[in-house]
Amino acid sequence: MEFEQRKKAIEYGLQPFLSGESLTLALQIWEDRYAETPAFALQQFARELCDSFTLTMPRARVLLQQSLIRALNDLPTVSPTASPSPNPNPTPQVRPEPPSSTGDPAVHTFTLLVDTLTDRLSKTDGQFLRQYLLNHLSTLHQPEPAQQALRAWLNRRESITVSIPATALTQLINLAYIALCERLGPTQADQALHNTITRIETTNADRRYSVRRLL
Amino acid sequence: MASWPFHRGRFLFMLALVSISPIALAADEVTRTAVDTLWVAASAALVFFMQAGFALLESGMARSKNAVNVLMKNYMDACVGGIIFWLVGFGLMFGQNVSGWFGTTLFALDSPKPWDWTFLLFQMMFAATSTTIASGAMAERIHFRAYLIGACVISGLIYPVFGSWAWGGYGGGDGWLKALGFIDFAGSTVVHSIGGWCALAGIMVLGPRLGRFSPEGESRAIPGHNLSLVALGGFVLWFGWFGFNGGSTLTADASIGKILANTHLAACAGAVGSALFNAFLGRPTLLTVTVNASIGGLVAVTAGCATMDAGFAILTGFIAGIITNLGPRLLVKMRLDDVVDAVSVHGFCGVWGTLAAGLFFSGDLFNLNRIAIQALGIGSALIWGLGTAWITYLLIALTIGIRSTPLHEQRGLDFTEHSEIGYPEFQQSRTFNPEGLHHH
Repeated sequence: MEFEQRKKAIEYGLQPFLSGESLTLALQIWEDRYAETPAFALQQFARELCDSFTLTMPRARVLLQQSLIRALNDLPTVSPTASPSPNPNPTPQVRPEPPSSTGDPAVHTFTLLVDTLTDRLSKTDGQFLRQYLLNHLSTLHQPEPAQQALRAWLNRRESITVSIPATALTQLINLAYIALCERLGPTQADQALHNTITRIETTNADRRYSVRRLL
Repeated sequence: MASWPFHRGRFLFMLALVSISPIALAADEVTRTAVDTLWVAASAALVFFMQAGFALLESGMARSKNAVNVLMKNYMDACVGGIIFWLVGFGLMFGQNVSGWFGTTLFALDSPKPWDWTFLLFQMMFAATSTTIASGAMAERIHFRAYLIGACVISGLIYPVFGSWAWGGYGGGDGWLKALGFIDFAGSTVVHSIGGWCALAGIMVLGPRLGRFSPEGESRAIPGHNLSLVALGGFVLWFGWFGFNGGSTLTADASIGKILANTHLAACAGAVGSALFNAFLGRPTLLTVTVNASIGGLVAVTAGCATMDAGFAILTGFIAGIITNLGPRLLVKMRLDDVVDAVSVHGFCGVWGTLAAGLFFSGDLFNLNRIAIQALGIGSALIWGLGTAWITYLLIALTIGIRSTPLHEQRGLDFTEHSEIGYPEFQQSRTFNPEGLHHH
């Protein structure tokens, strides 16, 4: 995960508790002392903030720590301008529709499926899946612009601005399934893919392009 | 001196007796043949019913997205295998066997003698049993057409040629193993081990299902979708086995009781042996393992059910139950993916049962000469069955392809191979586009 992405996530996680100069100062503390430390060091970071900024709400340290972890896990959806509540609903939600400048409904549905699938996994499993897709992009035999667009999307979550044939998208979803089989085992892979499809179908009933057409 | 009428009466009585006796004997022979035919034909029907048992057991152990494919393989291998066996297999197995290695007559029997019909029917069912063993092992990742071609080779070549070694001579001559005194009453080796080795060859060529083993080699369980089907399949197979072993007498005589009792005892002992083994190791008693253990007991006692006493039949089944627990572990260590543990149940237990038939031969226990002949039969079955099946599946893989694509594994073979699904109203993991389903 890139430094800037993590910083954005930390900022997002801090917003329910701090604002203005306090927020900037807290971010500086994180950058100086915790940016390169493992995730479990967030506990120490939260304790330090509670002591420094005298956060008085009940269970402040625990809530702050949870907020930071959640923000890091939900990194792709994090927007620094958003203002989450101190105790947001932990139930995973379907990813908001990503910006799609191509207007290609197949690509749009594809990104929605993979993003939703990734969001349902743990952070490391989601990273494994994206890395697996990156490693196998060349097997799709797509034109370079399409490969570049997919690479940029997988690496930096940039919007895909080119059209990609549905057959290639189907192959990519199958690659994701293979990655899940390798990582989690076939039973969990079946469940993860099925649940993602069901979720997309039930929450995005008015989609222009049925997710089933990519399977 | 006796009067004439008295003499005349005695004379006529004697005359009638002399003239009626051949008729009575002939009538007795007709009755005898009819009863034998009835018994063997009924047994053939029971053996055919085992196909249903295999279908239930194997489909229950597969994921719901592959249930139809497993059922179709069991259904169709009996069909294509039956015709192929009639065409060439029966002749290779039971035709005149001058060399001792294969038969040369009785191909494509068109209008044989009445008993030949009965014998052909019974043996066709045996061929179907041996052929279908491989289907479960290779489930969830083999092309349907590739499987059926393999089934034809097993029915038409692999099974009958080995059968001719052990059982050949119906049309004259003798198989070389049979001539040595190899004991395999109903086919622990001839039917089950050969089927098990074909399954082993198949899974070696196919490779494991996606994700069955982690990149680090860790085994991942892939539970079947319906344990009720597994249990029902176990019961049906057990029931059919009474025809399998009982009918192998080929005559309705008093030995049937012993054969069926031994068969039943060994199946019971297999399940009990497995349960005790797992209890001893502190493991749970799983349904799938228990059902497989009873089938392992049946497989093992098949060779010696006519020639061993009840206590040894129980011991044979008991040890087979333990083998059905250890065998799958060995295969997992070798990273071989056997969906239903067919190699352990049929291959390994067949080996043990054939050895047990030599060890526990009633009235002549532990005869080393007999045991050596049994071992020779076991070894030759392994080399022939595994070797020819491996070449067969490899040739299929290199020509028309044998392994389903990962996309097909994702979608499930019910959809990709048959365009229908087993549970259209409530099937989970529908990871395909249902527009591709066949609509009647």
